[in-house]
Amino acid sequence: MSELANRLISFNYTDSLRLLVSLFVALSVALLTGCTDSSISGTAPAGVIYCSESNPSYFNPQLDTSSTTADVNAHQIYSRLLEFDPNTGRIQPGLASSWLVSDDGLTYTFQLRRNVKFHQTEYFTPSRNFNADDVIFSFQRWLNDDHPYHDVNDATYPYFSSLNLAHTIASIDRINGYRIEIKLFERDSSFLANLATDFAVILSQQYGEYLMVTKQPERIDFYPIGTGPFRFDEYQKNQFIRLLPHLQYWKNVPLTDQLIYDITPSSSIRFAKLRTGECDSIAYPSQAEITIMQADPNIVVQEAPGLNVGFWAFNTTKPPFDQADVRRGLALAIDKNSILDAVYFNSASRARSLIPPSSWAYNNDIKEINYNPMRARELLDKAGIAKGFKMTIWAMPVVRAYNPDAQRMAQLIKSYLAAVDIDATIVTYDWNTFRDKLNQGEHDSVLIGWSADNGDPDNFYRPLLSCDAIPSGTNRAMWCNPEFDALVNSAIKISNEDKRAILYAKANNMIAKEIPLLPIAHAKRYQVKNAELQGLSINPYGSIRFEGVTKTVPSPTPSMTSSAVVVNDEVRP
Amino acid sequence: MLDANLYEEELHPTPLGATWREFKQRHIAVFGLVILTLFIIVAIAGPLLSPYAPTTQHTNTLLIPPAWDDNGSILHVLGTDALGRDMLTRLFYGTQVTLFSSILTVFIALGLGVAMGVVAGMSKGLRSSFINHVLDILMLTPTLLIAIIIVAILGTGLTNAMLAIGLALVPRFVHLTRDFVREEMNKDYIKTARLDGANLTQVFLYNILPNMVELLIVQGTFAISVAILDISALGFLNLGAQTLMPELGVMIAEGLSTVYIAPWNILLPGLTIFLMVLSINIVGDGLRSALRNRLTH
Amino acid sequence: MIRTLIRYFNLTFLTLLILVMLSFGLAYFFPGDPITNLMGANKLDSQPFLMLSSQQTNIFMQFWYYVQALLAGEWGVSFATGKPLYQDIMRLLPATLELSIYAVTIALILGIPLGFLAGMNYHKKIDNIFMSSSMIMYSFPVFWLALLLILLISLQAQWLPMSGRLSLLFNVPHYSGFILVDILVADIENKRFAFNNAVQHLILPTLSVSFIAFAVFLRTTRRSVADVLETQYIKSAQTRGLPAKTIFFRHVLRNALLPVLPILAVQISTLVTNVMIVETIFSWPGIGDWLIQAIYERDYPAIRTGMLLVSVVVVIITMSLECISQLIDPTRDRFAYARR
Repeated sequence: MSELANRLISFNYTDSLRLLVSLFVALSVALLTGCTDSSISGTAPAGVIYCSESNPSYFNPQLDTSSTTADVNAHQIYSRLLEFDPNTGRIQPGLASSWLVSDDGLTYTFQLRRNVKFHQTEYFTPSRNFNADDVIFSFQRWLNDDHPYHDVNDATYPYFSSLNLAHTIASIDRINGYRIEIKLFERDSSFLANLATDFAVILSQQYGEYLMVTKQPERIDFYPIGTGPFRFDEYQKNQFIRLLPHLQYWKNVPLTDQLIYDITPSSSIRFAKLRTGECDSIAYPSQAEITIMQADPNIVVQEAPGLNVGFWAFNTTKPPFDQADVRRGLALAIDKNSILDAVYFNSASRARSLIPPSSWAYNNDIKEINYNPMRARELLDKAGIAKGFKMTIWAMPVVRAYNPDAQRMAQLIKSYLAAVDIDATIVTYDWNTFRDKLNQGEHDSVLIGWSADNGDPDNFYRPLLSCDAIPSGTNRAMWCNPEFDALVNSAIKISNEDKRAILYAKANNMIAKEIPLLPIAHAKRYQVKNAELQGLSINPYGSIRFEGVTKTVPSPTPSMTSSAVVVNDEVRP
Repeated sequence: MLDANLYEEELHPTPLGATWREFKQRHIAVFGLVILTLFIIVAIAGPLLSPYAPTTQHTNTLLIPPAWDDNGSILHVLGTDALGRDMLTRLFYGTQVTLFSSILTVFIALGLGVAMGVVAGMSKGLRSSFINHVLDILMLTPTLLIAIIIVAILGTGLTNAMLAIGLALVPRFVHLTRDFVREEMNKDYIKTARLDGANLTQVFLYNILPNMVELLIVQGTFAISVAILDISALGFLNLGAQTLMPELGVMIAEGLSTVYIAPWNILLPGLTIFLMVLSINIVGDGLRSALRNRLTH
Repeated sequence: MIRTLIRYFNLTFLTLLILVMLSFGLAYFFPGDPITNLMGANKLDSQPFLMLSSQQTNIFMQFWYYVQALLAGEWGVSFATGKPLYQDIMRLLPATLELSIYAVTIALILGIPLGFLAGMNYHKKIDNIFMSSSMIMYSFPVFWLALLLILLISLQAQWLPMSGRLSLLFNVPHYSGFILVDILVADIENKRFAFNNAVQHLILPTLSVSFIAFAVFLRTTRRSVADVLETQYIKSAQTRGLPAKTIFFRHVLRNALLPVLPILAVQISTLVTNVMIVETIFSWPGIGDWLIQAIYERDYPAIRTGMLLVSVVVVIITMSLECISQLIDPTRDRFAYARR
């Protein structure tokens, strides 16, 4: 039979087949390489691509404390009355050009900036500038239960309710078109700081009215209109978000032609994309990769001490975790140092209390829990926890500065617990589902943390451990201790920092004694970016800011040295 | 000429012997068999040989490269992963898990498939064609879809993945058996047996089955390689074995998070799967050629 | 011929019916309230769903309304996004189809001629080379292959991008869903750049999928060529003195190609599985990636509808191929491929 094949082949089929194949290969090579000739007219479009780590839940940071939502919205789509200076932490004018505080600390008067324009998009065109009505609309939405937008999208306003601002603010009044007055019930030294956080954004009242009339009020949180430097263009879940520059932004800063958020949940893929140039900056670089990035000349690594804490919180409403001894026993069973090594790769400092050393409320003499598994077993036995006791550790699925790999941490903790005869199961879900279930209190314990929104230490205590923070979901330990609340609430009424520090020291001691949560680490904040990206810096008091960020594109023709957009009728380099 | 063979024996090997002689002649097939045997030995004995447990986290020695690298250490011959677990041990356990679960799945699918195929082949009528139709649909559906549905109903886990893959493999065996049975039923030796008074079960057990065994072995071998690929793919996607189990696909998925600094975490498990599947395919191919050719040589 | 067509049409219809019943039944098997599983929300405004969710309907009527809803394009709403499934799926399906079609085409264009080459040189050196390399090729786990390609080509050499269909900086309006078509049709500047960019994004995913498919096609073609060369009619053609070229083009080619068609049909389900896995690894925005995300999020309406859609597409394509091959050669032994 092969002899027949021989005969058949004697007519060069092999040759003609080979010819065909090589022709095909040549064609494809020509198609691919020949076309990348740069002398063809037209260029690659300009823009900045940021790899973010998951989907935002809304396009309005009022409704959510997640930093994913804040990263997209807080400084891109919206502005606030006041802003933080990223270098000093001092409060600066935002949409409020100036303000006055009365002597008794109860009345705040804000003078609003003129000629600020809202976004114009395909779905809405504003017909007036920003004025006091917009401020009142934005605040009343979460303050006033009867406000038509209060319950839209089942909103809960977690940040504001954890601070109980509804009981702090007595009234907001419009003095005239550009002046408003806010009256408080009691003095609150952190009030101005709270107005400058990511969450206190200003919405468009005109847009709200328009949506009410067209019977689509829920669009206000999904097709947003604000006064920020970028306007919303398109969102594909799990894929990308596209923002375009707001041509009439009230600040005179260069804005890039397009701002794209490329949603990439895996941190190593984000890193890979940074290296191949598919992303210009990435969210939450893995600590292990930071060293590689520092060695790469195309990548710039920025570092700053972090105002954050990663902790292991116990659900104090579920027995036996309602007993302080049980919590102490579990805390004694784990070795924080090895966690710092394995999970944080030594880019975090060991947390001795809830508040990081960079804050003025930190006190040095806190008695810390050290690794002592024998004592742990003793305490657990005394509290009645038998060997083989089962508990769950919930590990968050996303990366955060305060906890870059909760899964790995949970596995380490599980093995430590196994050494004291506790059988732990690790539970995780997709991020939004995870937070919903945590709010229901389904967890025994959870590995999570907190990044401060402003420099005031109150931002650690009340959102994390006060009774009011339980319904809003930021108090993961579900801990409600009236003494603690009394300490923290009186601390915000005083403006003298030393006196406040004393109260906070007492609060720290109480946390160390009761252990509703075990603080594990304070992570340094890193930001990595492509060396061509100009103007991007770390914002220690909030989420990422892209105003003023441009990309220098190296190109032969001198007219293309940067990609910028005409803002306010002036061409900015 | 002096014949070295003083005893003029004629060689009449048994069918098995003939197959083996034929198989031996293809060197690549023997090579594949050697590798496969190695894997089987590793799967059975490896866990006993290794000094570590697959889940112990050596927190002092994270992400160590394999021993031939400068930073490697002989204590962990193939390095460690991001939690400090020894790679070699995990490969041993992983081979065990993947190989045995695949073999088990194929065994059960084979048993079920043959049983159903025999019934279908020996019976006629509407009932059999309906079953055939349902099985056809099952055969056309992509394996991953079946796995997704099973995971949605029953949840994740290695057993559910095995169930899904088994479900996907059964129709193939049913078809095979049914066609073979149907064809054989028309042959003379069956008719002889039936004339002798054998009932259907006896016909199947004593006449058809021995002839079918080789076909089943060859198809079973390929099915095992398919099952290995599918089970590890499901483990990789986190739909099968979960993250705490040392399964090769799961190890690749876990290694992804540190791929840039420790590429061996995905290279080594993947290489293991590849070599396992390759050796099974080589052996299967060799078997098939041997079976086909043993009578003609 | 009409009889064959009618028979296959019946078969396809029956199969589709069974698939729809399965999809309906899954709403009951999945955890949760069946009606919510069917619609994806507690209530929807469209007519068939209104009838579906009213309390009086029994299970058969529910099924009837479900079929109506499906045909009307009302596929329910996703648990995860709250948006209608129809829009999501129709946006994503062309991406998967594009990848599959390109991969299959390349596998066929390369696999069949090379298979002929191998078959004609049966058991010679070139045949052995092809046999061993194709066996190596289809022993690769597809996800490992994709990861290797990313590691070597995207990360080490930085020649090609590793995710997506097109750089996000290009804003190409949706026309057909097939990215290359959309770019050529679109009214944007930088068309050449966009096209190149899209091709660069296409290469690695297509390569991953076609790598394995190519090996299978090569082996199948080679086997069928070898079988054909052994048959009596080829030998008789030779003894009659027909020139080799005529024998090849008139007899060998067509008869060898015949069994390839049904093999292709069987391979489609493997191909779809591989495409889905590759989509996840390359973040290719297609149905496969979407379905896998849906199972992570336990988005039951999405899983059901996606599964139904993919199965329907696979069934239609496979049945058409079988029908065509039956028409071309009615004497074909339908189950020969099972004994491969």
